[in-house]
Amino acid sequence: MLEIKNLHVTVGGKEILHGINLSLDEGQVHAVMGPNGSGKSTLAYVLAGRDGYEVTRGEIVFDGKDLNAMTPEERAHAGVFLAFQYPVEIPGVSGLNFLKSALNEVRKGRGESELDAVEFLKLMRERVSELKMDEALLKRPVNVGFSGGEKKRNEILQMSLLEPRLAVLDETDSGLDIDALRIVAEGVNSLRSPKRAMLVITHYQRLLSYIVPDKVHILAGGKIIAEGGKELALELEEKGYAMFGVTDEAA
Amino acid sequence: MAQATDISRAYADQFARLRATLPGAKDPKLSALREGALARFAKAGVPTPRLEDWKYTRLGALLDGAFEPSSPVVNGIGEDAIDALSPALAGGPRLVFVNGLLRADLCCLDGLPAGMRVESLGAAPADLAEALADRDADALWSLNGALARDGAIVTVAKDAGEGDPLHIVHLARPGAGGEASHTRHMIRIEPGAAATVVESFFGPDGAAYWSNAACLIRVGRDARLRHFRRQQEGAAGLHRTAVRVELDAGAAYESFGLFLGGAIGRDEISVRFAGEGASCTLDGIYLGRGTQHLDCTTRVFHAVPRCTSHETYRGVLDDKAHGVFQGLIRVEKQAQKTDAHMLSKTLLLSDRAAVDAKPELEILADDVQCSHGATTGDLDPASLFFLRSRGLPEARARAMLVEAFITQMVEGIGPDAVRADFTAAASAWSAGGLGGGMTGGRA
Repeated sequence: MLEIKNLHVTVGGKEILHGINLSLDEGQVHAVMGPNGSGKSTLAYVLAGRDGYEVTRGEIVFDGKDLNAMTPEERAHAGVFLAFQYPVEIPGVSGLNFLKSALNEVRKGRGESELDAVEFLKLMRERVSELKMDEALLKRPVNVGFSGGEKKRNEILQMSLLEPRLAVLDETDSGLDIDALRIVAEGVNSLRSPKRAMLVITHYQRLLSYIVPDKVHILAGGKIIAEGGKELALELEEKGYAMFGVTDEAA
Repeated sequence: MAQATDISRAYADQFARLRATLPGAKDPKLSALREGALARFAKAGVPTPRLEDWKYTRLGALLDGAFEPSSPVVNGIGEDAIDALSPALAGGPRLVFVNGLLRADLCCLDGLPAGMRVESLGAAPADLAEALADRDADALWSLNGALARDGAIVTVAKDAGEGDPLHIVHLARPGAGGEASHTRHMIRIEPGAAATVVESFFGPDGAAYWSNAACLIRVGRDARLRHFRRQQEGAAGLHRTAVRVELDAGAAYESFGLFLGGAIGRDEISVRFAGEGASCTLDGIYLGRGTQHLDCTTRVFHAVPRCTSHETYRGVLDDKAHGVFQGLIRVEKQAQKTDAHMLSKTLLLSDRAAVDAKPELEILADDVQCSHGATTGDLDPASLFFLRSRGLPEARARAMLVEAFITQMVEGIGPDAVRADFTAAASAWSAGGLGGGMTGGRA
């Protein structure tokens, strides 16, 4: 489903990713682990198509299409979803209005019919209760006044509504206490499906105890330096990034 | 450009022609007042950018020649047409001025709040001298005073509770073009009373015309006035409103302006604190596109201790629109414990749009809390990317963020009917296409 081949990415004139190779099949969950500054977020942003993240070499093939040639909205319609590390607050836009607009744009983009207000509310309520969210939050402006956990849950709610083919979770565990982490991880797990792939980007092994990956890639210095099964994450937890001869600025 | 003296002479001729018909013409004291105002205008002339206060705003056609007094319009406008301009306020108490003259047949005074008295300028001889006051006036205020043919005198009796908003509608129906109306209003809120007044300005696209409105406001001890202005002149309209407010001890004045019409618009508001413990909030939003020029100028004079003034202005400018925000806060030496804050935020949606923001703090007291801030920029790239990553096409994401920027201001409007009216007007602006600058070369 996703083939990243020899991907070089430059941000502000500086090369951050130096030739990444990674392939991900339908139904699989892969983890990308790495120390701070290794290029994890760059990988997430370049998959979602953020301005300023320039692919200078290599390619990203998603369902046979050249992802890099697509705008962020086209990627969303094609089924790419990025759960942000730092979800933005958008004062003045109500959560419900945003979710309905996004869902209907994505449905339009996929050739599906738009939902009317009643259908939308029904679907939204279903998903909100699955995630144990407070529906009142969605009447507020997007993410404004939300706690860290509420923001992350809101990201998972969007993922659940937009039903992506590929979900990229950028440090979804950051800033969460253990209870919030469990709720978010349960939400993510409930969205695992044979038709969907996930790329879980994280610094720590902690999240991977809840979202168990099929494969782990270690990213350091803009390169994948090791790959393995879920046990690789456990080994990393024990020995630290030093086992790969790299230093972790956060450690 | 015509010689300033020619323009002054033309206005003097107008005055000579009209003076016998002006309210208060038979009272020698009032005549002298008007003559004095005319003389002050003649001396100063139409303001030009050479004046510090007008540095960023050039009054275009007003510098090219005198505008003739607009003609009375007696037919062709029905109540329905007025209702349609502000559906959310229809049915409430209202006064309607067409070309600067009160049209009694279009007014509705049934729901006038208890304690609120409304008269036209011509029907209130006892109040004329106060209403036509020309102290500390600038040239356009003086010209208004010399030529004002009509206006509203609104008085709210002591301790009267706040009722429905009074809507004062100004409608231009210019003939050939080059016509002006000079309305003069006075609003007095007596001690302990509260009221809401909405002023709206409308006109057709096409001929150039000038609305030169002046409004004198006095808010008595512990009284409150909420004052809204919606400036939606026609595309070639020139608009100037000057509001002068005096606040007694403990009084509260809240102003909110929505400025989105006219070729050139200038909304000026001056607040003077005359008694301790009073407060004002001056909020506004200006929305410009095409080649519009929209100027918001505020002056707040803290002359006594323990008063509070908070100002928040936002602008959205597209295409080649030009915005101006000038905010002066002066805190006199004796005005200790003043709390004065001013914030201006402008969104520029096109590379050719521009704004001049000039905050000015003159603080002579030493125990005060004062601040000002001004930001100018494009939409937040992180928010834009977030919305697009959720499937919203760029144009829709931008429109949503622009609307949000505006919504944050109008959603705070207190009276439901006014909030509905202003929200509808702002949404109509947002929906009016976001102009060439929106799509011009921004990936």
